[in-house]
Amino acid sequence: MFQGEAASSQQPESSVALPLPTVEAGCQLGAAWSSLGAVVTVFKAAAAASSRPAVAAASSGHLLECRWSTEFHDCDTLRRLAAESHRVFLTCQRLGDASVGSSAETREALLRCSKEYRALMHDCASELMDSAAAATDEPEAAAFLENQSQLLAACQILWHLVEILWVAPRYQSAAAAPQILLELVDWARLHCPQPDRWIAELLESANATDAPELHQRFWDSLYLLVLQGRTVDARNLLSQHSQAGRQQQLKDAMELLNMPKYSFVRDSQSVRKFDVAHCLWQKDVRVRLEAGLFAAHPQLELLVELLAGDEDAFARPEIVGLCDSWYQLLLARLLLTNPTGSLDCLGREAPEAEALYKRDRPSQRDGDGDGLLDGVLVRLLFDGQVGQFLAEAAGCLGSNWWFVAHLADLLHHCLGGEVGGCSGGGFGAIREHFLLEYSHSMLGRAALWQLAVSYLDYCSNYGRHYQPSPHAAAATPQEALLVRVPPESQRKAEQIFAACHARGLLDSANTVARTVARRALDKGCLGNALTWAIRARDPRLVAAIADKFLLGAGGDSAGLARAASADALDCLATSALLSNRMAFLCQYKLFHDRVSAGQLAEAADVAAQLLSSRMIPRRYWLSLLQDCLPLLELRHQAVFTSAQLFDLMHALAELRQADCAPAERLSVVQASLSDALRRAMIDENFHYSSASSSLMELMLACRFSASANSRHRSWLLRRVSMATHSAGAESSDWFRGSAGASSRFLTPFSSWTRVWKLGSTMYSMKPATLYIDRLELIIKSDNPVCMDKSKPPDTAREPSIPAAGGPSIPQPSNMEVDSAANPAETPTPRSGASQNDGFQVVNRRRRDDKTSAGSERKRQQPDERTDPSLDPKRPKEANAGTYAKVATEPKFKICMEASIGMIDDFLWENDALDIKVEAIRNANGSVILAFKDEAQLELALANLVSISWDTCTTALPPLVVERARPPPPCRRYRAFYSGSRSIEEIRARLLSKNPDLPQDGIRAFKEVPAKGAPGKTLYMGFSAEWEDALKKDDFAAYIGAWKIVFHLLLRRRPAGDRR
Amino acid sequence: MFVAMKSIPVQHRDLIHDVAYDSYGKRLATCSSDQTVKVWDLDSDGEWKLTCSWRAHNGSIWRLAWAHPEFGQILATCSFDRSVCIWEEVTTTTAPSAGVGVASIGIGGGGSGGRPLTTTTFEKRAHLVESALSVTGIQFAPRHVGLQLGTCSNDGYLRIYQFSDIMQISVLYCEAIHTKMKNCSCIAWSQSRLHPTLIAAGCSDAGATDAACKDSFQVYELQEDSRKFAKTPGVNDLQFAPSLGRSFHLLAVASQQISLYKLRLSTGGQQQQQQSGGMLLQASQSSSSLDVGSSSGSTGRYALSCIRILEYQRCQMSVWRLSWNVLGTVLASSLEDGTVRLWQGNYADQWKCLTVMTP
Repeated sequence: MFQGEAASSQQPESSVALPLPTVEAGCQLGAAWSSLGAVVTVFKAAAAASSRPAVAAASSGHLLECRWSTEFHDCDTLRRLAAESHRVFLTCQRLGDASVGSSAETREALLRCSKEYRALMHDCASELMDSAAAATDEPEAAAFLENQSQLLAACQILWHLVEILWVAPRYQSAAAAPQILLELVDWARLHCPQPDRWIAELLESANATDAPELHQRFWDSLYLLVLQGRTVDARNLLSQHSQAGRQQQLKDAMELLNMPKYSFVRDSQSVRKFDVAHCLWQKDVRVRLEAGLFAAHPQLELLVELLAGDEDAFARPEIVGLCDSWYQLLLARLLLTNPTGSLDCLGREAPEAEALYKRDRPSQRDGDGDGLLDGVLVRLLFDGQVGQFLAEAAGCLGSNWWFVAHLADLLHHCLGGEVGGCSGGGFGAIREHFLLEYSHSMLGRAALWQLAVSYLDYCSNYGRHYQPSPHAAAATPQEALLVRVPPESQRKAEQIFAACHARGLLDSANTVARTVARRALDKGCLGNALTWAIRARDPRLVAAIADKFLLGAGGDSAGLARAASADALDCLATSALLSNRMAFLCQYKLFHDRVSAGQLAEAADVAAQLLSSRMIPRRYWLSLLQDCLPLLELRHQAVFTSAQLFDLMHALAELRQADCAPAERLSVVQASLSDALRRAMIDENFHYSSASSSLMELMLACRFSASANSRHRSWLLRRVSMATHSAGAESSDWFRGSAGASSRFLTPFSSWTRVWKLGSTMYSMKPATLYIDRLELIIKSDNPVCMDKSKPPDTAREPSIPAAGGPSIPQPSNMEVDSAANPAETPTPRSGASQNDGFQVVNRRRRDDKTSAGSERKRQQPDERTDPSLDPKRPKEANAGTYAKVATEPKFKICMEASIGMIDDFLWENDALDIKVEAIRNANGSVILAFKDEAQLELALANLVSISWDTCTTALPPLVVERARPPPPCRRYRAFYSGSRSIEEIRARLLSKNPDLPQDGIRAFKEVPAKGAPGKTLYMGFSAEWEDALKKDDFAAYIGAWKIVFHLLLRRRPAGDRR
Repeated sequence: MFVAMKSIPVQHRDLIHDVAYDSYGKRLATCSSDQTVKVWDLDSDGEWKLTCSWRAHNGSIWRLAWAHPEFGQILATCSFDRSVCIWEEVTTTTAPSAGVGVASIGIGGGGSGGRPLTTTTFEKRAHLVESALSVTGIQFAPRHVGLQLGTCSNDGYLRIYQFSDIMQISVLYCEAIHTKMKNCSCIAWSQSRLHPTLIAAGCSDAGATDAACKDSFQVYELQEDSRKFAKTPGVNDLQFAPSLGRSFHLLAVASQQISLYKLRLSTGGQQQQQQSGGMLLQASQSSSSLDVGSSSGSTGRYALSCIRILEYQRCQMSVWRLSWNVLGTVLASSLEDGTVRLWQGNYADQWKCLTVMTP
């Protein structure tokens, strides 16, 4: 605690009269600090929140905004002072960092800084004076400038004193004391230029009168010169006396004025020498004085008495009256009586001198204009109470914190913690207090915020060094200040952001960035907002802005594309990590970029990833799917792989389930999707052997086709049958096990109430529970009876049936309800063609399973069985073996129950496809279609377009595919072409260019008469290698001659066709 | 030295109850008994321009508060009609209608086509009606806590509203604390991010004789619901000072004088808390409420000490409102005698009256 508390509390409060609102009963005043600078708003409010004021409040319609006068920063010159002194301040901080006032060099450097400060103040003061003189037409402004100038000048004087006493290096106190005294005397002289003026006047008049001593100021000047220690000047002046050459007294006096001068050398020896010399000289003076040499000349006698250090002489009114201030008197006394005394004398003798000085000037105390130099402050300095001095100075200067802040900082660097008048490291606190206040005063000026923050950087107590924890930076005044600087413009925002970062105030930096982002968001500048939000590292905000981007897009794909093409997204690659939405936007942009760049496969990859990762909000799925439509519908090129298409399908299924998109738009996508899937699967030669998970996807695809395109559905169902067939029991087992788990995929089947028989495996699924009423897969060996007869019941006794289906018949997952209701049930009792042993086998197997305890458990824990490969009983090999055995005659048949019209359609379609098909009508209304070879069957199945199952639900048409052997060798032919060139011709041509093509990679299937063209149409299959070769070949030459049905299986119906 | 800068004619038709600056001091909101809220913006000439004025409640609006701008331009108001409203600024820019002269006449600029016309409105995002009586105090939490709003009302409840999503500020969760104080009048959040967040609530009911109501301000720590209180008659306002790297909370309480309380996390207090079985209420040592300066409670984890009473010439005078400056170095207070006094703390915890603004 500082010592002068009592003194400071006695200081009168500054009271300002302001037009505050008047207070009536029931009203009260409110005061609110503005965050910007030092502004207080005063308003009138109700007294208590719950009571209504009695007065009619007609006069309450205004607020009064009062502010801390920041006049110091109002004038350009003073702002320049602030800016330039900041530079010096920074220099000081660097020095201080090196070593706190310890080494001589630092002290010298600090002294230089101090002088620089003073030079700045001096410059400023004179500049202000000049502008005050210039501003004659505005008396108020001129007065203000003049006032400020005087204030600065006074400050400079004080600063000089502080510099002499505290800043300048003090080598050894004993040796330095006389030197400091001299400097002090010099200081007093500098700021009291009176004698020089008098002398000048004197000399002027001397020219006229020839007797300067008659001038009223002659002796006064002489005394003053002596008081200021300028004995040489005094002698010169005395020599101007008209009697100087004649009167012995004058000659003696002039001799006595040869006062020994102390010259500072760095040893104590010189002090002693000077002391001796001074004593001898003063003794001489006294001897002569006591001898009465000057008695006849009272004025001269007084002069000599002063030289002799006579206390009474100093107390004489004419001497005291000469002095401008008590400290001038004090210094003179010290100089002449005790020049080698230590600095303590200053404080000791000060009261006496002050009393002397005030004796003659009772009213002087208050009359003195500027309160700075009235003595209190100097007295404190002489007493060594620097801290108290600063406090008082701050009180005197009011809102001008510049002086105390800089001075306190300088002193802090010079003296470290041990300063007179402060205890316990209190000086650092003083310094910080002033720095804080100075910064705060600069807040009012928007242009000065950087300076303000820079000062705060060096508040080590309240600042960042205060707390050792890493969070300390978060609570510093810099932060309080930086987040309050309004980031009005981009540039300023950048500056504030950089300032925060430079100080490690990351949190504040984020706050600033967030604020700017928020503001830009409100204004609708999304790009800008996004940039700042990313800088703020705020995922929520980034997501929100990304949402805005997407929202602005309006949800349709065009808008989405527009949003994605925004420039702001161009350079935000890294920002994608911050938010899913952002990542989506970036990926979406990538998708469009790739599409426009023609990298379709890559684009498809991006789209599929986007949808499969569930990264994007669901409401944008449809947009993305629609964006994919052009890619899906590309005829000549399979852009998507089947796996990717499955991803897309899952997304679509979820969409449909969530029921959050218009159904018609979904259907469009669905149709394209299933179409594309079919093509892709054929293209890839989709393989089922280990694809039990694909099975699920196939089922899903089936579901899609169900509402989109019956042709696709049937084709896919057939794929399902093949998949089930090749995966065998493993997949069906899995089917059963995972029915619950994968209900997500199966749910779409709920509307499916038809019965399918497609092989030896039978699934029974109810609409409400298992989504598929029944799905049967029956694969039978070729049976001539089946072709000829309408009823094939005895095929059950053929050895191939258990071989084909036996080992792999699973337990239908939800058969129990069915069997309870109808123990002897056959799923579709009406369908004659399906009354084969497949069902009996199924039923038998089911009974078997009922006996095993394991099935119950399996049913209860379906999730554990999702991996079919875990099933130890994999009957696949057995399957293959039996197939090989029964491969006798390749006859491929489809046995189906359908109306005549449907069959006609079918035949028509197959005619268009050049498929030779035999239709045999059974007595019970079912139809058996027979194909020559498997390729034809495959083609036909793929194009079962005209059997529109949706229209014949009452017929429950079961479809039985009969075939005699495992998947055909023509599987390896990826592409089918038909044309008029012979196969030999093509083979020769391609082989000539690509000699290493495998010989069996091309195969002719069928030759038919070409329609509307001469010659024959050749129908042939190409393996992958051959197809590539064909594509690489000079295709244009062939196109003219060839009727090329590229990827025949993917062929689309001609426009205007019946459906 | 304080000078009157300007007088702002806010033209409320009734008493103004509160004035709130935003974080940058560039925006001002006023509320009044005439049930309207007005928002003012500082233009480039340094003049306050009315941006928006709307009727916000069906009763006198007591207090209002701005959220930190990083959450957007959000204003909260509380009213005699027992509700709290959250308002958000919505700026709509309408392009000047090109062909139609009538629409663009007022905008000025005439032949040059006119700039786009922006209209600022404040839309009500939430209307909180949990309180059973008039809501008298409102303050947003410091920004490091996120977007939270504290309110206190005459029914004695302290409610803390949390905004679950800053983009969807209409969704709030409410947490209520029963203070058992009648006529809660003011609420304040502590500002320091280095310490657990505290909420102080004060009640203005000086004449309460009920034992449960004898303490007239309470301090809660949010997580642990630790409660501190001290007795001062009729707390009119209380404010936490900006933290400024202090190791303690500084709470100014306005009653018959201004008391400054230091709230410091104490290590020794924990045993005491255990002794009292987790309950944190404990009367402060002095029974006379006038010498709070000597009183200090040390219950719970916090040591509460009154460091200084700011008073003027030793006479008792009601202090109505308090406001800290940005750095927490100067406290503005309005007094019963119609003056505004500024108190400044210095380096040695000496608080002295810096300026008296007299009518």
